[in-house]
Amino acid sequence: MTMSCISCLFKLIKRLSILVLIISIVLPLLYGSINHRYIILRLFHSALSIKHSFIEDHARPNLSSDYRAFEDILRMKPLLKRTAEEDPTAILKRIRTGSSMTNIVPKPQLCNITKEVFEHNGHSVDTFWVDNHQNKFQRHADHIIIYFHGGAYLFGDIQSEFSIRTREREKEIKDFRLQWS
Amino acid sequence: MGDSAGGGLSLLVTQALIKQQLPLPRGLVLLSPWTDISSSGESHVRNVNTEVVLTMYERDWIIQRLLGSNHGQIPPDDPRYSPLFGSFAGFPPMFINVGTAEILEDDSRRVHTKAREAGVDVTFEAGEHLMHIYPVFFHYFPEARRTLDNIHQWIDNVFQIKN
Repeated sequence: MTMSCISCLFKLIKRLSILVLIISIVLPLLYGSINHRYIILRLFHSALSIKHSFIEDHARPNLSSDYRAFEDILRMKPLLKRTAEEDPTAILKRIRTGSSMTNIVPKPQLCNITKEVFEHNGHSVDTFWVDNHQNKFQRHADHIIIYFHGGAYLFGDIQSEFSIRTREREKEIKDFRLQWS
Repeated sequence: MGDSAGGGLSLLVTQALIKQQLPLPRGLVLLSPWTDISSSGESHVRNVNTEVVLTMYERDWIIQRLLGSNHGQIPPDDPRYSPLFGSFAGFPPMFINVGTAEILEDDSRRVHTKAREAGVDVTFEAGEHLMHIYPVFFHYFPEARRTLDNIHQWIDNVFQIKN
């Protein structure tokens, strides 16, 4: 009796670990990322989308349930959080070192980013070549997009800013270049 | 191309290039550009409850940091900081995108109006009820993907026309 219980437990553990293994392979493939925070966010978003597909928004009938789910998440967990006591410099520092945007829009696995520093008149600017088609990359192509990223001129960096450019890149724009603002 | 402050910077750079008679880009794509740091747009009041991205908007503090120690002497409509108050004459074609739930909605609408009056070829796409820089979140909802597709098509056209 005890033996059969133990073997039953073993079987269960075996099946569970196979399930965990499958999930840990399938989900990153499905979402194209191994960033677990991003995957959890996508799963949470999908669940909320299902909820929203049953709720009508009469004031805004044009919005998809996917959009409303994402908006819900931002309201629950704002991109830029602050507490009343925190002083602005501390907030800025926290945002600069934080990675909230990277977890929302992570870098695609195969995207290639190369840094290049330009100097002129004693000023220097860090720029990044963003290429999501490694084999076809032509730095000296005459179709280049210069991207100035946002962040109130105070925060944001290459870690938080490549997602949208790489999507454009995927769509065969000849060359792609990202520049700090 | 640029989003938010990067959109404002794209406009400032283009205005500087025109002033110095340097070669211009073939086109500008602006996502929710921040064009008026004096925040004179009515959307700052109108959309305060629908804004979900710029929730920590320490406006006065940020602007003081931007303008430096002599911020008291700089007029709020100085075109060196707010491209909205500069000139749009001679601009290349522009694609401006903004969400109508944003506090920065009027930053885009007013640039659109001024640029059109200056004879610039402007394509304006307003995402109804959508948030600040919404195309950035294309993984999550189709509204973002649709706008990105439109931008992609627009860029393709701009490249083709000049070739």
